[in-house]
Amino acid sequence: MLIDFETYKWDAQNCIRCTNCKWVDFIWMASLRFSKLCPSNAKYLFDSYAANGRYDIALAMAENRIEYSPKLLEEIYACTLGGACDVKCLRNVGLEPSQVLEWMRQKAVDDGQGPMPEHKAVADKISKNKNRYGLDNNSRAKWLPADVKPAEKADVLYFVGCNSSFKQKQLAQATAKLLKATGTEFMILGEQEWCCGNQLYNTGLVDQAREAAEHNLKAIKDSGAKTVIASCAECFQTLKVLYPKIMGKSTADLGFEVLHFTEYMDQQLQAGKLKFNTPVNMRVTYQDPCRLGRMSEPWTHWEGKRGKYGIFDPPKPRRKGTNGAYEPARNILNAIPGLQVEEMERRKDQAWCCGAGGGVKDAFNDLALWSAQERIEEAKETTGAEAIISACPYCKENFNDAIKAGKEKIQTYDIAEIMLQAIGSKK
Amino acid sequence: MSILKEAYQALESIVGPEFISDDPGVCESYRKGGYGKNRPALEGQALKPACVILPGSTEEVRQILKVCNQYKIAFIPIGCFGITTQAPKVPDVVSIDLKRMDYLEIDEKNMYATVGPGVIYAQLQAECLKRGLATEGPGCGVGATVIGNHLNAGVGPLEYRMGWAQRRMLGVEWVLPDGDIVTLGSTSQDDEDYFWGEGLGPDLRGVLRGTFGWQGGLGIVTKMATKLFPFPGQELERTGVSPETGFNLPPHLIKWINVFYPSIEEAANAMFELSKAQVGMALMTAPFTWRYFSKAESKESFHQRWHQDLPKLEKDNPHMMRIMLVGLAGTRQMEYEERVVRDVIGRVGGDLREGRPFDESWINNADAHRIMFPGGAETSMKFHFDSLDASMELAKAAAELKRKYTPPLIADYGIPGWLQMGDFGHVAFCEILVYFDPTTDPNDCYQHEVGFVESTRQDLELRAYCGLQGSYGPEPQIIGPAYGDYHLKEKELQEVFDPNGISNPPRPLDYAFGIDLDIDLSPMDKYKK
Repeated sequence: MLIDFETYKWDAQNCIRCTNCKWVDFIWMASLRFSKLCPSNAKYLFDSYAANGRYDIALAMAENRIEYSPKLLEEIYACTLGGACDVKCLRNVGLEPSQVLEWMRQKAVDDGQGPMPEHKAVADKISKNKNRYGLDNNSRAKWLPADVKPAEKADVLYFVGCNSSFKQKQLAQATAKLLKATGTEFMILGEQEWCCGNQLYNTGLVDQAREAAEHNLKAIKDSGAKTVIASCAECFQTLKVLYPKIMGKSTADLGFEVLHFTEYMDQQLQAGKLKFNTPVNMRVTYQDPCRLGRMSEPWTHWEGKRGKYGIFDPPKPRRKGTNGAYEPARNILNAIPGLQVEEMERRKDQAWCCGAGGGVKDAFNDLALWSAQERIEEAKETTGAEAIISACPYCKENFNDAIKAGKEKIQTYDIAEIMLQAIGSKK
Repeated sequence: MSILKEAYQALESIVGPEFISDDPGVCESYRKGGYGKNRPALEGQALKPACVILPGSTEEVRQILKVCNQYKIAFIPIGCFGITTQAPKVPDVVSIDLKRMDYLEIDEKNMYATVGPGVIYAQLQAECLKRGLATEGPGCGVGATVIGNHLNAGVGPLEYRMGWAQRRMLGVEWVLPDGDIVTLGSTSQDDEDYFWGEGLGPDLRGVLRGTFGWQGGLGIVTKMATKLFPFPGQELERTGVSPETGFNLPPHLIKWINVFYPSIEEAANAMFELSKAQVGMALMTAPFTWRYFSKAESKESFHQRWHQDLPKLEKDNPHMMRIMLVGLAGTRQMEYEERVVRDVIGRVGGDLREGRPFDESWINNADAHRIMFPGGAETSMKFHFDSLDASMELAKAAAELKRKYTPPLIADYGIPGWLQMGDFGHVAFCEILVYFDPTTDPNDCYQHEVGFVESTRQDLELRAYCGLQGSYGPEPQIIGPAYGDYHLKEKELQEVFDPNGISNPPRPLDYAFGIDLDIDLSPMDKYKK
């Protein structure tokens, strides 16, 4: 188990049920309709589906006062671990609920009860095939378009991710073309890229996640890359935050820089290497992916003790979501001619999760779709957008599923697809 | 499940299986309520409810209470669960979580809002601000439910102009503990009319509110109207990323002015003079502790900086008075009020500085729960309403008493809490705060409890009003005899409304349970379940 409950027991004991973890920041709350921030609690309503109630369940688990049951596993796993509760609690009370939520999953696995069967199925595929779809990993680079040839050696490495490699290949293709359009030479790992393991870690399968981390970190090191770019928010957060966390080091000690595609392209835009010359006439709104936004701050390794008043000795840096990557995507979208970008009420660190993360899409698709439908309603009601733009293939995939299920007219795109249109590429 | 299966099925038939649960995880998550004096004592003592139910309408609430009476099952209504009094203290209760009842309607013309018990202040304020109206975000934070807080005094900084929440209460729909429905005010004549609080015949709002609210000890209010006030909310710009979120204030309409003094007496005198002029939206002295922990990066940095600067604060002895000006009628009012403030301060003295054009705490009280930041727990040692002179006297005595129990309480400076003017200075609210760690060392909790009892005795010696009676505050067996045995009368009243004694027992008579104090509790034994 990676997380030591004793370190965070103080948090569980000192939750004051202020309910901040459930609500949009009170300053940013702009309506009754879109005032909630925790998809799990908003859907299931009982407090066992909110950080404040899960704190009590965690205490009961630690003290062996509660027995495992299918319902308990649902209470543990029906949450996207999107970090909203952390941001809200750290703003005021100063507790870190996500550490306890992760511990609950790790304990469930250690006790032989977790994760959910659907998670185990994905984990098995990753174990056997090194990608979450159980496909031949040797075909991982088959998404490459004929006119794009990665470099044998370059400073930049594009970490493609399972979804864009195998399912939504057009996203990887758009990313590669845009990199080329800026004159960026980049490598890929091909079959040496394994599933990043984001879901493995988030479902409590720490050992398997560590195996993925060790392999991918070695592959990146062997490539000699100085900068690793991920176009998937989950891969990005895994490389930047979870790998150092799992390996007991800090992001700064990785030996390479991790950037999300939007961060890199924003740099290129500011440097004049990226020009948008084709209008994209559309009214859109932007979905901040949780793992690109509030959960993407660098990880700083900490070891020490928890003392009176909950004080960490030595002081522990808190990740409050303040320095998430909120602006790069907005800078890019606002630079595209013809594109009318409207903000939803819940935005940036206060963004409502699309519902796909944390293993929810696999095990609780009803929650994933419901969460996406809530966001679609917000996009329609508060912005009148024709499309939701995101910067994570899992957001796009889940929005697409919800749009189909709800027979919605609104569309959804990855930001790379819009950028590709804006540079005049036909596809 | 420890209630009769038949009773559970009866409850389930009211709301459907989706909205009731006796799952151990669900019940575990309703074991421990939020903050308040008894929170430490609740650690390890709080009981799980037998089940949790989420009604969606008044009719469902009514039927639930009928079933509870039929089977003599205790119930606890829960709004936001922010106070300890909503945690089970007797076995086999039904926790009634009201969050589905988030009805909210605003009558802009007549400036009032009608809400259900699941609506929190932040939601109401959000809807008000875009309509050019406002309610008051209470001192306990806008995560509190509007109805729950109105029934519990509802104190906040804007009471200087808006008055307490208790007095903003208009029409009410109230399900009595036995399941009967009573409507108050104009609602008693017309189910749709919540415009007016007073009705034909006796005004039962006094019974409903009790001395300091019943915390679920007298049934469930399922709908309530509250008065709203004009406010230039459309002019506020939301800004920042957590934790630095706030409103940018338009200086021509909203402004904070801070004035520094070398003594608390001079600061209080300035508040008194400003109150006479009846300008401003909020008027108070602010504790320096708050300034430190509201800006602290972390607990560690707060403690490091606070203890480093404390000796200098004690040497320099600064005190800060704050006034918030709002141009409710426009820029001209704003200009007039600012001239008045500058004129008054010119006469009484003080180092006047304009505050930041930014607000995170008062319009939509977003950081109230920072109060837990220093230690993990906070208790209001005094909760006092009186003249400014009397409040000052009590505040200074309380500061001395607090020092006696520091540590384990976290060291403080000056008046360790708030002095806030209410009703344009006709009342001064004094809230003395103590911060401590309730979990690391049990002796800290014990010392805190002993200090609290001594504080209550101090109130009586100084003939000061003991706030929070019958709540998580002073022990009723100590203050009751001094207050005409109010607590016994309250109990008699409850027995009339709640003959089966099932509405959040032992409300309203919680007292120092869980910690062995050297006081005689035997007179209260007859009320123990």
